[in-house]
Amino acid sequence: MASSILFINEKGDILIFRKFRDDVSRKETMNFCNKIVATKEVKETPMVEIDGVTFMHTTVNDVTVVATTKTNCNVTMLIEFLYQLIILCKAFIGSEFNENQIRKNFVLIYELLDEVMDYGLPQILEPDVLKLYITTGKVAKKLDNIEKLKQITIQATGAIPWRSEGIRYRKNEIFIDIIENLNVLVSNKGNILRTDVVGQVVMKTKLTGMPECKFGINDKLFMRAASGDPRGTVSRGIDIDDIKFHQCVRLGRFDRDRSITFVPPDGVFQLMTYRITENINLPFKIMPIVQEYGKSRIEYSVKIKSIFDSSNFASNIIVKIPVPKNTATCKVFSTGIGKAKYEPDQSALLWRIKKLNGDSDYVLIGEVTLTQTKSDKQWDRPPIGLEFQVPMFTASGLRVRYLKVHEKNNYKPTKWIRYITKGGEYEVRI
Amino acid sequence: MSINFQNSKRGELNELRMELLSVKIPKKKEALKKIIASMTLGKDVSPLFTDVLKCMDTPNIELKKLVYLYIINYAKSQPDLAILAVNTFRKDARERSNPLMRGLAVRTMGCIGVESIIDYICEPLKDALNDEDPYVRKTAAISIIKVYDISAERCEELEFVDSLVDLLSDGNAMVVSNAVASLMEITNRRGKFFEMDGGSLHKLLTALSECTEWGRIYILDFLATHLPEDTREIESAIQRVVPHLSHSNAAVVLSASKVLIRYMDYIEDEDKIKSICRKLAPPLVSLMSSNPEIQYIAIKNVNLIIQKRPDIFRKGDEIKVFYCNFNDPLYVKLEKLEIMIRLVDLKTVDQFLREVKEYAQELDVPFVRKAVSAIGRCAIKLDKAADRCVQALIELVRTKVEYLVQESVIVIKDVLRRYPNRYESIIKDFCDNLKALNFADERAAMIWIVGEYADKISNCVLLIESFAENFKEEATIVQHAILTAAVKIFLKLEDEAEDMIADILKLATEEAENPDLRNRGYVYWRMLVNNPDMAREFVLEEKPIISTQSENIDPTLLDSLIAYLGTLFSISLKAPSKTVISKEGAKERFDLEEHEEVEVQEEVEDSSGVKRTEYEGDTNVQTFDDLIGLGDDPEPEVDNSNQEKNTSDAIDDILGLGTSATDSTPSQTQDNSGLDVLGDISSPHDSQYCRVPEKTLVSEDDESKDGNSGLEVKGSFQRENNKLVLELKIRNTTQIDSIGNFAIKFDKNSFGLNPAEQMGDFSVDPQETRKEVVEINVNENNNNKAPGMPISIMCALRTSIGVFVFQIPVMLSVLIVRQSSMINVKEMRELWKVIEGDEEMYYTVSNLSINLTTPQLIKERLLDNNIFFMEEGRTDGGSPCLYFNAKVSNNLVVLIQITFKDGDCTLCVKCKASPLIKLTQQCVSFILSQN
Repeated sequence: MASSILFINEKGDILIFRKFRDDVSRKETMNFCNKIVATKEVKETPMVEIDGVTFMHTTVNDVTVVATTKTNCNVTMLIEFLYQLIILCKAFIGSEFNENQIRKNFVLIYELLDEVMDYGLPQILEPDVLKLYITTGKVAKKLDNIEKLKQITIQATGAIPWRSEGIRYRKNEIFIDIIENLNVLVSNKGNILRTDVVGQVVMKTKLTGMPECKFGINDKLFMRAASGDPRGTVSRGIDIDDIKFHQCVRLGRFDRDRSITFVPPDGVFQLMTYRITENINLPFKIMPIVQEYGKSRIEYSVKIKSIFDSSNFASNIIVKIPVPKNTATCKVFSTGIGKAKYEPDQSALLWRIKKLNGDSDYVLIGEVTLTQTKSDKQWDRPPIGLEFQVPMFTASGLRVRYLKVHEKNNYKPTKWIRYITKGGEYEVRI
Repeated sequence: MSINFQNSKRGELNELRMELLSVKIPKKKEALKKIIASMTLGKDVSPLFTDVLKCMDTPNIELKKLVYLYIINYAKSQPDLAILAVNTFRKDARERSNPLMRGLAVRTMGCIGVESIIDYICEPLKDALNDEDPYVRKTAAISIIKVYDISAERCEELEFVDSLVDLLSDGNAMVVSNAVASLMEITNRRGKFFEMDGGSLHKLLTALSECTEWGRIYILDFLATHLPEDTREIESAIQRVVPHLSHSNAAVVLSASKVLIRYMDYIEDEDKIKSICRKLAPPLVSLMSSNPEIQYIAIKNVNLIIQKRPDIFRKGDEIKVFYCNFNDPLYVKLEKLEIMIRLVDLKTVDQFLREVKEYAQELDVPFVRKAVSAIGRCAIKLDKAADRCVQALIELVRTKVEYLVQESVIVIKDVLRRYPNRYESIIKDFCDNLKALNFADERAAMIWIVGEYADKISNCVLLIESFAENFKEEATIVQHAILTAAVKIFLKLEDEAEDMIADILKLATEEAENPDLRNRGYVYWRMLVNNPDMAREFVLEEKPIISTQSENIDPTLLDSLIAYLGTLFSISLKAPSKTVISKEGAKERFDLEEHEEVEVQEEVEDSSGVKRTEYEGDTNVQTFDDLIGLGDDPEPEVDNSNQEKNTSDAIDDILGLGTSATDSTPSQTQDNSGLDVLGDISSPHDSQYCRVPEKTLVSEDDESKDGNSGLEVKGSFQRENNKLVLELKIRNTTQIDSIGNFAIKFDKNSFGLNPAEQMGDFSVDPQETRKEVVEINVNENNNNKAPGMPISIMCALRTSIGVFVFQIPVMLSVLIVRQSSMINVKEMRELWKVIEGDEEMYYTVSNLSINLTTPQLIKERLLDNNIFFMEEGRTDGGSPCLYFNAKVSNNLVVLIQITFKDGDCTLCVKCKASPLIKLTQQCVSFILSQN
């Protein structure tokens, strides 16, 4: 598997270099660093082979995290490992993942690397259990009690490494957030080419002991199975294309009767992600008219219409209207609502609307003048982007039906549910 | 805490040493942190080794971890000192009160990759395997691979591998999964040895649902390569694996898919197969909403899965999932297009075209080019939609945007060929845009069109003449195209084109530097003079239909790639050559040796224009195929081996060369045989592969270890058919006894040479000589040391009269593989600049062969020895020089510059690995000195 793990900054300097096997030398590794510095190759693939060494990498902020190998390894696993390693580092550093923080915490990261990977094979990456025995920094506790140590190792290697025993809360609470990211692709003729919803169920649990949870949503297949009528005269419920679960969910059980059962980790975690492509309610309609007059002037008229219930509202809407790079001036004649501002660094006119009620529409009218350029290349007309948040609305229609919690102390936790739909890859071609 | 990243000087080392000696633990810690910071920067802090070791024996675990980190880093370079640390390790490994400490000690000990450590580690490791604490056991399971990598023999002797198998019954799921990971690694190194029975399958499946996500991946990967014997077991395994398709970790999903797809081959029930296929699609599609890196891997893998199980994406609307988003990285977009072409069918072709035309408007040239070529490939794939696709291409050409026109020409050539006599009307549009054709590929394609449709293009003679204006400067592929097109035009128009054909044949035979082109020119010339009718028959012969089938990967290779889903092989489309995995090849199904990778045939029409040029070294070989004039299109593969055979026979007759060439059966797959045919037709160019002269390895008087003599061995390493072999002549010089029972073994060596097979069972009678050829594998027996000068392999030959030990010298030329080093001229120039100083050397070839009078001959000679010509240039002194590159079996690239000045031939070799420089000099001067 992996021969070494590296953290590299934008200049190609090595911030962290942990060797797990001896087959890839530091010199060979430097090839990659120099390549990044020398070229800043954006077109590079996530796996690069240089002289027989394969570098698998991903970049967050100003840091590139790299795994190297000379053999055929499970590259999917190593990429996933890198992602989770970054999350883990964030959890330990307690702030953003960037060059400064890594330089400050390098001893901690080395200690983490020693625990999370052995001879290139990923081991334990659960922040909660690692916090029990990683010694560097403020998380360090005295570890001298044999019983306590045994408990740690058993949890670390056991079937439920994500939750430790003996958690206590005076007030038991669960917060559930259903966050849907709406991906839409609209053609320049206004046809909807593709819509899908990628949703997440994020939970924050403050529960005592080892609670056994059962989570129910209006999934059509489950409701059919539960009603004992597999043909499905029950027409309510939604079609879910695919669900992926946090490792705490019992997959076998879900496969058998589609019920979602689990012992949750303590604190915030993502219980599941799901994907839905059918019967999606779009909250907005964008109708753009972008007219180019020769090579010097473009006229814009962009209409946004909210098509959800008028009692609800959307907030933090940003319509990103692309303009050419050689824009000289950008005039906005009217917006009706919100503010529009030309942002040269994004080559876009950003129309920001704080709050938009349901069932209403507004039009932005503007004009852009262009400077002369030497190249006679056409403008590539990138799509209009849309960001928004609509609380208490799910584009897919997903609803939580219940969340049952069983624990031997027999407490009744308080439950809080929030729904929100956000703009994901929302592209309207012009 | 602020760490000083500034330059460390000698004084600083001393300062650190003083701090390490301090009695205060925090001070020691600070010092160690500074040391590790400098280590990270790549500074040498190894002089502090002894001082750091002194800090090791401490109850403070934080300090201890820092010391361990330091030791791991330097153990390799300071093995003797590292051994000093052993006692503390052993003490820690016995520390009863703290399992984390025991685990840490066992883990770190294994990282000291020195053979002598084994004596010390084996006892604590054995204890750790039976430790009461699962943390220690799971750590010990991994440590066994470490021991195996230090010394496989010792590891087997100490029965560590067997204890791994015992660990599969451990009650703790993480211990089981780590043991599985270790078993898998060992299997990769020595071949499959573990048989999956019902019991162990059950244990693995139980652990599968209990262990961490990583453990699940280890177990699933193991299941994918170790199939249960029994169909019932296979079915129960499938049931337990299916739920893992819902795991949030993409690697778990891909590994589970891999198991299911492999196991499905052994299920008879069609309904069951269908139901599994239905479950596979949605999770794979969901991976498209992951981060770009995972998307990239997923698309590459989906591409393989679709070829293996086309039913998985059957619904028809999946193609939408692979539409490109504006902000996707280029590498994702290119792969998505690939899948879109695979999925498009008559139902979806309209939306596909709308979508792809949209992409053609973007500005990212490689992406746009790929989009254009996708339209053409769709036309070739879907007969009924071809009209619509061609219409779309014409629209693009009419925009007159240069790169759109260029790429359109390349694909339209294939479309025309796929549908003869259907779209001739569009040729005019292309003829109007000749100015845009700047690069070799599109020029060659356009010339092909002109030649092929000469009767429909009124000014074709003029066009060819204008293309031929700068004949000498054109790329080889364009020159070939001009020649063939000219012949075609002449055969169609005869008199009108007489002057033109004379000019072109003259250019090709007299001015061209490329020997293939010259030969080809002569072949045509003679054909046209001697028997024009036959020439017409061959050159204007109806061409075999091309199809998109050729884009599919060969089924055997596909099967072996399926076994590697989710791994690097699935990305690079390489697979180990020895893996024979098919339903029939029951017994040795999963011989998973990782060595000896073979390059997969390049996928047709590779992703970007850039790549094509990279393979320029190979074009010579490629163009041989259609020398006979069957077609100028080496790209889409066609099944024309029969025809080719006929024609090549016929050509032999024309040239009056008799049957000498027909022994070797020409076929598309064997480039070499094609070469042979040519070699015979055209005597000027014989292959000049330089055989290494044989050496006496054992002389008559040499004694074996038992004190016997009477064996004489001569031989040398050679490269035959692009394989490395050891040729031996074994002579029995005794009078009475025959010698038998031969076996050969190599010591570990720098290039990892190892006999691929044992010698056959034979014996040599008195005074007899026997020739033996042993195939050699590379890269499987490395000692990780730089090669000496000259390279020699320590070899032991067992015979019935005892073991003979001798050295076999190796000439580097046999280790150079027939494969372009994949670097293009630009990269070479950069590389050439980067490597400087003592890594480059000048050397004069003293005994240059008298036959090598011109640079051209030198190029040919080196090409025959797998050293590829890159470009001509001038040295700083202004003398003309030639640049070459070659690739050694361990993937290192060497660059060679040859300069001529005043009759002297000077070599300059550059390579990142300095030991190779001298070896390359020796090898090149050997090749150039052969007459």
